[in-house]
Amino acid sequence: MRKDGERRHSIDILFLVVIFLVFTFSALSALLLAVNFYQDTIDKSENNENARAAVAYIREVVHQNDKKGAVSIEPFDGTTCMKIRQEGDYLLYLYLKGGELRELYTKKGAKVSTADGQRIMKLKELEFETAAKDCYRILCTDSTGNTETILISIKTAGGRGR
Amino acid sequence: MKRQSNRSSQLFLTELMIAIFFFAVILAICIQAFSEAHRRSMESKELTQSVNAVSNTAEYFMVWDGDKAGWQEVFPEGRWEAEEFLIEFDKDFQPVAADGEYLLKMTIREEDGLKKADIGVTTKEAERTVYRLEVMAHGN
Repeated sequence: MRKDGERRHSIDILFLVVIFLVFTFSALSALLLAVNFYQDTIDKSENNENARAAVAYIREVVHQNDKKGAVSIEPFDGTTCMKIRQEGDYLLYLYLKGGELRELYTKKGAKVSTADGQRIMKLKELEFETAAKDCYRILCTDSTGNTETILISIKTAGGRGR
Repeated sequence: MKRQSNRSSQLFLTELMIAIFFFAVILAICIQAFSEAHRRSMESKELTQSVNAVSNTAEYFMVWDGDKAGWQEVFPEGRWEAEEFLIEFDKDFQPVAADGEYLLKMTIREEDGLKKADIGVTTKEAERTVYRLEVMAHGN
């Protein structure tokens, strides 16, 4: 009788310990799940934003200077850049230097190099190419390896955009 | 002494059960919130990439000279089917020749001397429209 009582007592304790361990394990799992979800959401958000911000910036600059013959892709100090001719003999260069998107605003004929440009944001790769007449393709890879490809057309070149 | 010990373990069990009940309720709410955040994040990514694909198509449409072959040069994975230009994309929004998850469809029509393009991205199976844009151009 006494032995029965002792066995029941030890089973009670064991049951409590098991339940407590299950509870602790579930709590830790839930915590890890939350951390993973949060990390995943942040990563996706960052991947969504970085390369997109760079191409959106370039697109905006080109659209602001949407004039016939104003935009061209040219070599500049050992790299390929997007050259934008602005009013009053000024030039704007967009290019990749040292893993950064840079912008250089200068007067035509001035002796400048790629190192003089203003840093815009970190990028891994930036490629400019002519996709068609008055239409440029830009490939942009950000530091996380996410690549965005966009087309930018010069709408006033043929005078047809709406 | 024995009764006291039994009572205390019963009390601890009751306390633990109540804690597990609240934990389960809160966990259910949290998982719901996390899955909703995940779904919205996926939707946001899908929308971003659809907007990009549609914008690229619209950009070329603006300077298009009217020659259908030009589209094939700029978008090699795309194809013409009657008056519709189609591009298929996989789940990562990379253009593919066939069996894509998403379909970009552009329909061109002429109205009042203007060329109008209706460009939209839909999911291929469910035919859910992710993003749609109408652009106009003149001077072809």
